[in-house]
Amino acid sequence: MEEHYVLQMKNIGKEYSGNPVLKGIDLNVKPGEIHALLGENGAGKSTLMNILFGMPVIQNTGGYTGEILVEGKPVRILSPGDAMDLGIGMVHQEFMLIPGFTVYENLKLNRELTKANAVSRVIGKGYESLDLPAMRKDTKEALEKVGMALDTEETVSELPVGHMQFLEIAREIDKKGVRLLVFDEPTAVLNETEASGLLASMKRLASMGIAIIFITHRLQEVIDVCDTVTILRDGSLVANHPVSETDAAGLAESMVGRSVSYGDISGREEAFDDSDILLEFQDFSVDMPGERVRNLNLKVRRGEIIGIGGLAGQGKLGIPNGVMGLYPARGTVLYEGKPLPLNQTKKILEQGISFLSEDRKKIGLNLKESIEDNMVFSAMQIKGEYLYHFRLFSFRNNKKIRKFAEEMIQEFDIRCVGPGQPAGSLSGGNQQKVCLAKALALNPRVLFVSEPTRGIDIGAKKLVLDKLKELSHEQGLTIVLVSSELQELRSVCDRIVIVCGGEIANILSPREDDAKFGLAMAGVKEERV
Amino acid sequence: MNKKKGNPLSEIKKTLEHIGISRVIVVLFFVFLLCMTPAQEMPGTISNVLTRVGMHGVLVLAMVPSIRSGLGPNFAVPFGILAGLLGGLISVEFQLTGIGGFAVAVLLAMAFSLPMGLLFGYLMNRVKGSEMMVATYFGYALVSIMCIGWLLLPFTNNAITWSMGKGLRNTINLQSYFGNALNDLGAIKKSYGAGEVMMIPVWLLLIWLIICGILYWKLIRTKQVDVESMTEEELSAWGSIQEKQKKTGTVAIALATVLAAVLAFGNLGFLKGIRSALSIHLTMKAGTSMEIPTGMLLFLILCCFGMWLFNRSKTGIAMSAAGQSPDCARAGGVNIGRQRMIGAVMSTMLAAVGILVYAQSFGFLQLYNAPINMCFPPIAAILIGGASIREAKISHVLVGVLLFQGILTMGPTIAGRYLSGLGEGIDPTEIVRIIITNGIILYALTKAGGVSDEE
Amino acid sequence: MKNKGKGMGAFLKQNIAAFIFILIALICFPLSGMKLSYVVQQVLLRLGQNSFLVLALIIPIIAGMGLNFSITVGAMAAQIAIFFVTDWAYQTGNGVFTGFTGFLIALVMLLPLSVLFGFLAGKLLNKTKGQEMIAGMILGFFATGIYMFFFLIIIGTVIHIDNPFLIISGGVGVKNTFDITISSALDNLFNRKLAVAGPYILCLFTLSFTGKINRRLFSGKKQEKLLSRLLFLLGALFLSIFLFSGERPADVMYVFWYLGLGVTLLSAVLSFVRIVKFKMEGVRGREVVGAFLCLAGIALFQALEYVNPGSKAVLDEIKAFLNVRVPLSTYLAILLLCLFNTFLLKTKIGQDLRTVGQSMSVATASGINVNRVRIYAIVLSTLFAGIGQLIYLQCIGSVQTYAAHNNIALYSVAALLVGGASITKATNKQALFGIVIFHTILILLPQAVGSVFEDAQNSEYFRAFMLYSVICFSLISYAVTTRKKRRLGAGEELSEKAGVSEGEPAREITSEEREEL
Repeated sequence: MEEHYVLQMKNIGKEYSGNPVLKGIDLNVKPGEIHALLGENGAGKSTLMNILFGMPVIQNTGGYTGEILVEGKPVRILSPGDAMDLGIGMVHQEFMLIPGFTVYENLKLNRELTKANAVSRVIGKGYESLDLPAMRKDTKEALEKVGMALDTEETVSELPVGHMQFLEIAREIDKKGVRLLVFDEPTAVLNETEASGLLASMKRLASMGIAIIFITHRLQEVIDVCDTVTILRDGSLVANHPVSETDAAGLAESMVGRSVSYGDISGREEAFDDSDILLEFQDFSVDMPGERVRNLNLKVRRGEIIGIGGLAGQGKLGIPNGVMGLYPARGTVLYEGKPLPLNQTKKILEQGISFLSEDRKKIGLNLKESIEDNMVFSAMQIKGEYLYHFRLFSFRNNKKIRKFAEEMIQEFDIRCVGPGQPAGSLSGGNQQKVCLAKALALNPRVLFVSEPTRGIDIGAKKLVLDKLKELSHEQGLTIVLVSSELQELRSVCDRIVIVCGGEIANILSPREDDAKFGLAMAGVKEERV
Repeated sequence: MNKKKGNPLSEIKKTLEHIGISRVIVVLFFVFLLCMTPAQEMPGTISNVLTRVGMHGVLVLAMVPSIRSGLGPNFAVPFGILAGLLGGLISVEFQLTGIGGFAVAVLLAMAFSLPMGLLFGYLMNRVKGSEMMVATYFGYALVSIMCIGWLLLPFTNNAITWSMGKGLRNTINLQSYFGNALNDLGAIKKSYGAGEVMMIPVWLLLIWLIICGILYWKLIRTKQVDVESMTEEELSAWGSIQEKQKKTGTVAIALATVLAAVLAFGNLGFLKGIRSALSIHLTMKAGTSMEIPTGMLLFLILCCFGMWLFNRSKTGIAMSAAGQSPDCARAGGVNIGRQRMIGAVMSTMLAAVGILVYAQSFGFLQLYNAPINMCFPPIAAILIGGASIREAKISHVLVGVLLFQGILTMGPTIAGRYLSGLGEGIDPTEIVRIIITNGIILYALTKAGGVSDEE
Repeated sequence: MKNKGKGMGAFLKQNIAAFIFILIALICFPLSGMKLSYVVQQVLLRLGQNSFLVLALIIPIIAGMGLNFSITVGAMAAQIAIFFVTDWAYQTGNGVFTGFTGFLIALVMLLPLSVLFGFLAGKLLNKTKGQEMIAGMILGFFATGIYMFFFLIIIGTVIHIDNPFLIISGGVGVKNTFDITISSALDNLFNRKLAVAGPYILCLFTLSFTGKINRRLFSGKKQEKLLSRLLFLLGALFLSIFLFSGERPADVMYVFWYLGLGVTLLSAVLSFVRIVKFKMEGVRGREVVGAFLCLAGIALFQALEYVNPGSKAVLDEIKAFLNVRVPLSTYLAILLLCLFNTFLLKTKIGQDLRTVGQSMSVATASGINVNRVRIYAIVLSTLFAGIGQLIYLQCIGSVQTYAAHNNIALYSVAALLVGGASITKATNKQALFGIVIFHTILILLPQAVGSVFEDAQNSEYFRAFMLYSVICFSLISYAVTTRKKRRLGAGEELSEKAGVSEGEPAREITSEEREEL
């Protein structure tokens, strides 16, 4: 006998301009079940949810393949309105609340209850008066359902963050005939008490027969509340089983794990020890929204490639951005034994620390400028190179710039029509190569590299990674490589630091077992090796 | 990247889109006016246009640093103008004349505009996101404060103050001070007697333009190709071909230009015949004369050159990065606030100098409410020249000021000639000026998109 | 809402701008040496002239589009309508096109024109999100160009109008100024001298305030709503009967006057009883103060009627004061617009406007068509501005064809800001209060400045300075607060909370405000 499902997504596939981002995904959700949907950033979770909600971006890029069944009936969801009609609701990661409005106004946003009046009878429905008492009554009921007693008159800006989340949920519950709710990382901005309150409330909803799809990066929560888990990786389904069959480490492993052939690993574990420390982090904290670093202590040895991994939102990106002064940082960073002037980007760059940003379109490059100007920009500003110097002013040295750019284009095989082409018209991989050339133009002694292979093609990926390896192995450059791709870290790095919750969970050798990496990512601490 | 080779038509369409429909209209209008200008009035028109280009050029140039540093067009030009007026007044007060008087006025204006520019920059850094609106009203407010200031300032020269009552005059005649100081510097004047023939090599110019255009399109322009899918050998081969073509094209254009110049100005035997064949012959009426304000144009070119140099300097490059891509510049160790400050100061200074150039040619310093609407024409001019509210080059200044002032100069003559049915005192060019000025600014605003919540 | 109890300090802080301007007006008055009756007459006149225009600015502010500088296009629509009505009046000689009927015809013509103009303006402003104000301002200038093109060149070349009153002698183009045939059409429809209109309005206010206070007395009763409004309706009825009974009513009619006055007093007494009985709980301070002031005002008017001071000058002054004409019909139109603004905010559309004003992204996410709502706001604003300009021009009596609309946006915006509104928040009260205080200053300033500087020319500069600096100041404070909010939003984990409560005191359109409006 076939089981009863609220939602079945069968063999879902989706391509963006030829690149498959989802391949044959199945997702089955029973009524009253909490179904975890896991995956690294870019694994395809949001695309899947966009398909479920009929977001315009899906239709505009050629739709999807596969079949969606709601309550066993095949449906075609073409707009968010369709999804709403089918009883599918979403609790957003960032609050879709209006701070200046009261609780009940927010709860009834664009679903206000109205009653006719003299004007509306003549002109039209839009002029019907708001039925405030009825709205307040509905609000109370919905809030009770999620187990929250709030003053309906209170302004949302005066509520604690935790309550806002409940308000979001109550709003979805209040919609007619809701049978499936999607929670998109609801606990990311909550503290622990608030988060546990939220989880309790989710259980309560599930017990009322509402199915829940729970997207999160906190694996412990999955273990605590979920019934079933579906894991995506690189757009494919890697696991789908009851939560009881697994544990946090197992989940983490499935999310990031790839079979790495040990031959590819180039780690030089034995070559370095703590006798020659180039960079030392002491109680280093960074205020980067969503990627917070808390009291990190770490020693970087001269000449090594040290990898920093971890799940999204755990703070790995905060480290390089904090060091470079792009987000406010606290604590001490000793460089050659002397403290770095934190939060002063220019001074840090002057010391010979260079950075390849994860956001190449906004931070890495000036897309309107030419390739050559981008490449030499930092070197020009920081070290005064590629300039003719006069007394008061220094002017650009076109010859030198052109020569350097042409060398780099040759060396990195940057596909362009010439050094004068605007960087914005290059493909992602080539842009990344320009970024790398820009970072190297500074002749750095330490290079922070953040997500160097995100969104670029395989050829460029290999070239960038090989180049990094070469720089360290042959020229002795110290590299801090931050990446969410464990495989990449293991193939290049000498040591790998896994961060969780803004702190170091473990420091591992690239040759360590997948399981150990999984444990560390799930935040299970153990004795340092 | 296009997979198939784009056909020329679609490429031309793309180029047109790139230029912008409103600019195309303005250019066509300019050409239309040029064609309508009666031949006899050509010399006068040319000298008028050149004079007005020189007058307004520096004010338009003031837009460049503010746009490049990310402040958008400087709507607070009237504020900078106040510094210029003050400098000019002091120079007049001390009875300085000629080019020396002008120089002192410029130096004083720059001295005044430095702290003013710093104030303006500080304000602009506080109001990121609504620079244009705040700048507009900041300029207005300061001009109206200064109106009260003009009443109180203790000047004594009779040319400046009213002979009776308090305060300064509305307009101060510069004729006996530094009026026309720049204009007369090396001015070229030429008078034509009745029946004298002037040859303007229009056809030659046209042919030269067409040849250059074709050469550029065929050889120099970087063509769209699919570099991603080429093999390495193909790419390098293509690169060298491209290089070679570019070289050929440049040489050919240079040759064509030299040839055209020889034909246009050569006065030797048979060349004269060719020149005469390719020219329009104008028979002058008595008293026609042409005057080119060499000094003022040189001054403008000097300012432009200075700006060009600055744009190529380390600070200039940092400034434009701060304006174009603030996050990227910050990651490169550039202090964004400081760069915006520099942009504001430079723009204010240029505005101050600009008004002096304007005033010496115009012959009067205009006080009180006169500066209040001085910000719109320069903004419109640079936008017509091809700038946007985020990007501006020197070429935009020159092209823009020529087109805009050209239209404003030629308009009245032509309107007076052909639209005689209109009532007295109606100047259709005034209408055209309003529509073009504000239309082009509106167009640029819609293209900029603004900061919207929806992104 | 919690902050409500904080009392005077917060109240002063919120209304600091208003107090400063009141102070300026108070200083200017003795300096100017003007007669009070003249000032009152001018202010009442200008209140009628300008209110509609200023009130037209409120809806775009609520929709988050800032100060709508493009109301100029609405004003142009009104001028086009008036031009044609005037032309037809001259051409046909038909009385329909003069007076109040002419005004109505102009109004009907105005509707489609201003809706069209507003729609186009809205489209444009949707393309310049985030820069609406500068775009609106430039749009005003641009439209002026088109408008001039129409009146100077199209009329006479494409549209032939043979009317020596309107057209320049050459046959092309409209004259710089022309007299209109609907001059004072609305003002003259119904007006009374201040001696009658003043107490009338004050009585209505008293009834309204005390009615609110008295509501508690009837709470729980069956016909609660009706009972609490009964006195107001009764009083308004009696007073209106008296008012409509003519300029010099028959003696019998005075019965109604005293009846109305009696009802007002009864209501006030009830309020007193209620306050004694239930204490102050649930009573707003301003209602009590308002009622008290109104009663005092009524008493003052009564006193002025019968007072007999020794000197003739004072007596003349009092007489002149009491004889000031009050254009009640215009005020009624203004009241209707105020009521419409209030009503609109209590409807679905109003809620959409507020939502869009608070956050376009949230509005989009909740399924509101943001662009349409914004266009709606601009269309309404343009329409009201058009009507406002119509009222303004009928009051002036002639049209300066090429200048009448130029400073409309500037003056309206400044008046609104003087009243204590900001770029994110504006109410009917602020608009009306702003007009009164702003125009009082405008009237007094020339004389005041003249007496200090012995040069009347300066006053023009002072006026410009006041206009521009008021606008500039509020633009700056708006930009600084939004920027602070954005920065906090980016830096703080609890951005939602912190960004809102600290960074954005300016934007607090809550349900409380809806009641205020």
